[in-house]
Amino acid sequence: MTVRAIITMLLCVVPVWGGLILSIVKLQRMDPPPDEDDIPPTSCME
Amino acid sequence: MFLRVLFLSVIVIAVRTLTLPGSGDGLNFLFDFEFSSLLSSKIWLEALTQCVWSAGPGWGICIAYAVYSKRRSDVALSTAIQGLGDMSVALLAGVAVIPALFAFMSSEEALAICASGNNSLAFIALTNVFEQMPGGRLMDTLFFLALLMAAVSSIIAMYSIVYQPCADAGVGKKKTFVIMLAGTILIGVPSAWSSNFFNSQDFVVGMGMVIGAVFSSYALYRFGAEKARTKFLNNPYTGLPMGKWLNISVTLLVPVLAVMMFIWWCVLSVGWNPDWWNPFGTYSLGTLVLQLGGVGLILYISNTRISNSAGPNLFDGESFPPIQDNGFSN
Repeated sequence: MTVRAIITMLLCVVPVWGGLILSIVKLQRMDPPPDEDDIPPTSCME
Repeated sequence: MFLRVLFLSVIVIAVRTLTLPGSGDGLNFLFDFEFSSLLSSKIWLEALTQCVWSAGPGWGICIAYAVYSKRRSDVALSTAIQGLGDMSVALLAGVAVIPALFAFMSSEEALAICASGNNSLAFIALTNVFEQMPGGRLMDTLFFLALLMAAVSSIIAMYSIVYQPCADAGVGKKKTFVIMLAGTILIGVPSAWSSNFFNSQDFVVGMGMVIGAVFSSYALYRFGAEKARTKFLNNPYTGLPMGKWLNISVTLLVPVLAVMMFIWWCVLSVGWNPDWWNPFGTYSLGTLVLQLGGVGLILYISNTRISNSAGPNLFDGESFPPIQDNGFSN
């Protein structure tokens, strides 16, 4: 692989995969307990 | 379940591909680039079109899936995960597929296949590559299993774009099923039969998504981008607060880019085809006007009926409607 290809690959992979993993971790930490009064905007599939 | 199988399959194939001798050429093709290509209008148009394909159906699916959101859902962070997940799997799939071509073919052959489009790449070239690869039968099975999983998981979401508005409009469960079945037969069977028909649908649906982006932006503009941002996105439970840049992005940047792309593709379409006016051509402006115009006309005629039926059941911007049984719960 050329150096330019390696740099581009890292510039693509690190932010995308890093962002995905961090976002999932953050969502799991931030996720509040289910609320019984949660009402969906529409009721079609309930 | 589907997504786990898909994800694991692609990882296994990517690892196998990267261990093949000669896969470095494929990685070079995938990631190396010329700075001069950034000055090419064609590159930008195709990149933006890819964005529309990645995010465009997602917008429709997001709107349909929003029905299942809880009031405390972290919409911004979930949406970020959706976009990053799409890009992550796309990168992984590229690493799994492209280097395999370069490992078993000459660079010229591999480049020609890459230029020939996704269908010949997935269904012709890759099957040949897997045949030559040690352990290729297993990789072949895993790859097409992953592709099947991706298609099935996507189609479930795609159908939600149809049945959700039907349900909102008060259309019954059986009638909605008949509508979806008829649409699938009417469009799906000819697409499977004829590549010209399939390519025409690909072209028209792509343009339809560009127009859909404009409608989404207009809806947010009418509702108030700032109101939507502060009321729904930046709620106390979010881990990813959105700045005011989002207002400009969704109400100005997205529609301007979408309109530019639509005009650009129309101009290109006229340039490609001497019979650009032909309403039955594959990539002609005529077929675009006929198909999108037809769908637009049907939606325009039925708009009042849908609006009257759905209006009382929909969120009015301030308060949520009560849950009503419409037959879908059985």
